[in-house]
Amino acid sequence: MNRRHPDRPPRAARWLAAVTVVFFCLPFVGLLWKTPWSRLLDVVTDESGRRALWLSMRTSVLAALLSVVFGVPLAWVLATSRFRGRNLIRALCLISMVLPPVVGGISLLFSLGRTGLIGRWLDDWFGFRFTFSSWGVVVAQVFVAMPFLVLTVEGALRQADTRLAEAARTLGATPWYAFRRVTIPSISGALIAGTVLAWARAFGEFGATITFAGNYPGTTRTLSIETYVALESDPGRSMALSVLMVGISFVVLVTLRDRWLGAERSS
Amino acid sequence: MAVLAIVGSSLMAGCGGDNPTTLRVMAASSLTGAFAEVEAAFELAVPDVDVVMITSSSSSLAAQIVDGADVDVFASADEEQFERAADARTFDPPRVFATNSLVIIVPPGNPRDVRTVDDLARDDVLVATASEDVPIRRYTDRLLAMAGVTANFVTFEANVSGIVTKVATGAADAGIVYVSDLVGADVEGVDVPSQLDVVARYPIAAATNSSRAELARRFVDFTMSADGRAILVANGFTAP
Amino acid sequence: MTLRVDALVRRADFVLRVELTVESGQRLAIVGPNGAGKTTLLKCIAGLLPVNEGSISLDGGVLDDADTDQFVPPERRDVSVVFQDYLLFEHLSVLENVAFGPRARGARRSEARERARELVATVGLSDLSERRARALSGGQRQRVALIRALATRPRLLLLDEPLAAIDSSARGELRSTLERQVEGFDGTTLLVSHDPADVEALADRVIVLSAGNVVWDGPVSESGWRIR
Repeated sequence: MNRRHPDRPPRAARWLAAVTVVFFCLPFVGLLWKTPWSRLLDVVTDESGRRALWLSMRTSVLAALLSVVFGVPLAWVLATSRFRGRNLIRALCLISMVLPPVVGGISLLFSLGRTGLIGRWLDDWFGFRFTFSSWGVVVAQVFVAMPFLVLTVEGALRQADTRLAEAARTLGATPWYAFRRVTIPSISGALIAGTVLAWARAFGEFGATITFAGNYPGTTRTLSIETYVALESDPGRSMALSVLMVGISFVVLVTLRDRWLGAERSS
Repeated sequence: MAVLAIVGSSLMAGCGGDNPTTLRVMAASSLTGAFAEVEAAFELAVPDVDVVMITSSSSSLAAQIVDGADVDVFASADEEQFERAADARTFDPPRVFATNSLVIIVPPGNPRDVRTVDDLARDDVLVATASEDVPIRRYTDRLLAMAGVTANFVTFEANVSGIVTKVATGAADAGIVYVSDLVGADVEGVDVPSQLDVVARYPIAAATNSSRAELARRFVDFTMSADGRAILVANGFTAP
Repeated sequence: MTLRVDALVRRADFVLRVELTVESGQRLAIVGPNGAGKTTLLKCIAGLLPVNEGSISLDGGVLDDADTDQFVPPERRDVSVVFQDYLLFEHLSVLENVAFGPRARGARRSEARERARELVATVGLSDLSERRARALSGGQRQRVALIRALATRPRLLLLDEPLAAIDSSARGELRSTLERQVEGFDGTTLLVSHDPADVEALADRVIVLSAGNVVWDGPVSESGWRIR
């Protein structure tokens, strides 16, 4: 054991960690090395790139918000209820994390697509289609991203001290008031982490989006689809777009790091 | 650690066999069904060869070859993508081994009653097609230009199977694909009038400077033999 | 504020059987060995645990009745609790903690804060009003927990081992503060404690619980050795 740092993990662990870090860094180093830097300015200024970027940003942020609005109550129910079939329900809600995204997209086509179970009703009665619309993009992203938030928040809620909510109840808080004002703040670190995770997944989403929403510039061609399409015809552009995506994700993850680490330290 | 290494390498080793020669064939995705049969027949006819079939859109395959991917035979859905690959890698002179016609596909029941190419311009008909470098898109554009029709495209899929999926599930009302794609797909075909028929020409060639060039040429010859042509015709292609 | 308990509660290790009437304004201490059911009794009265048989009522109003299947949830009972671990809301300030109850019950923010300020002054913590609860010392937390419970003007105040987590040297002073507050409180008080000094200072009547049953009931002056 090291005298100056008695808490340090043993050398073997540090070596393994170093190898793992190299494994993760290598693709980015490769990308940055081969990217023609002049193209970087092009992709953010040309119309196609800007439209794709704007579409990706607004759909992924909306998807993250929807994941919170619908995912937090779900996490609450899963963490606290004990009804029969709860494990089955949880598995169903989380399964899209394990499925290949294209499979998710196809399932969405069969349910919310124009001739799908619910989709045909939406089309007949309201003339509304998810496919080929930006809403379809949002739906595909929510489908793949929400489970990450649900998993994170459910885990935190299970570990949260329920006695605090009880104390709030004795002071006059309804269960919902106690949840909002006491429980949620007590898991704020996990909630933020889960939201960022969901956003990142939504931002990078490709397979379910292209299968369910299609690929149309401005409406459904997200940055990830744009990058893929460019790969075949203009690899330099594709690389520049990749660097853009990596850059954006990196900035978000780094700026939010302090918020979620900071919150954890205090709980 | 040792256990992990042993498990890892045995998982990657795969089945043994007598060290057959691996032949890497890249084929356009519209050839998937047909070439699966060609692969099986070839492996039966020629001993000790393991054909590895890589199918994708021809533009994607060409991009991979340009990038240095190892390939022995390239069968493309159009001559343009083949030339792109040939710029990066030396191939034997290509030969057209199959042709394919285009057909309009619609969901079962033809909900929007699409009967002619002109119907593709209607506002209420959502048409699916492929993105720019995919051969089917080139052929489609040529056909529409000849007909003087601006189709109501709502999506530019990454490959032909994307178009088929959108139409088969009813998300799109029509699409234009190869006649060979009708085989086994849950869609109905609407014929394109013969004067508008754009013929897709599929070139094939063996890579010249490969240690397996001999074997590659045998594969190309097999594809163009009577047996090969029978398989192609059965799968909806026309073999010249 | 007369509390009437005539109930049976089944727990994992024992069955709690209590028949008890506490008159308005009385200060009752509940003592007994660990695992006797003291905390269970408090939880039932607070509404955090339903009874299995029988009923609990306050001023004639039913809080819990197993036979008629009536149950008033904790937020609608006028019962406040000072918990053994205080259970302060760490992310809120002292003032916000104390104002929590009134706010939860619908008071306007300014009203709630006013009331909180008054109470904070009575325990000498005005200087720390804006400090986050997580940054308080043990004695300070105890005082905040107490006035937080009193802020809602409850009819019944439950104290669960209020000084157990306090250093013995600081206990004396805090006990006096507690005593003062309880004197000034015009509702009924129930205290659970292991400490005879607490019982002496804060109660006039004692019941002894053992293995789920009341084994002794009488005035503090006569309780003597039973509470040690």
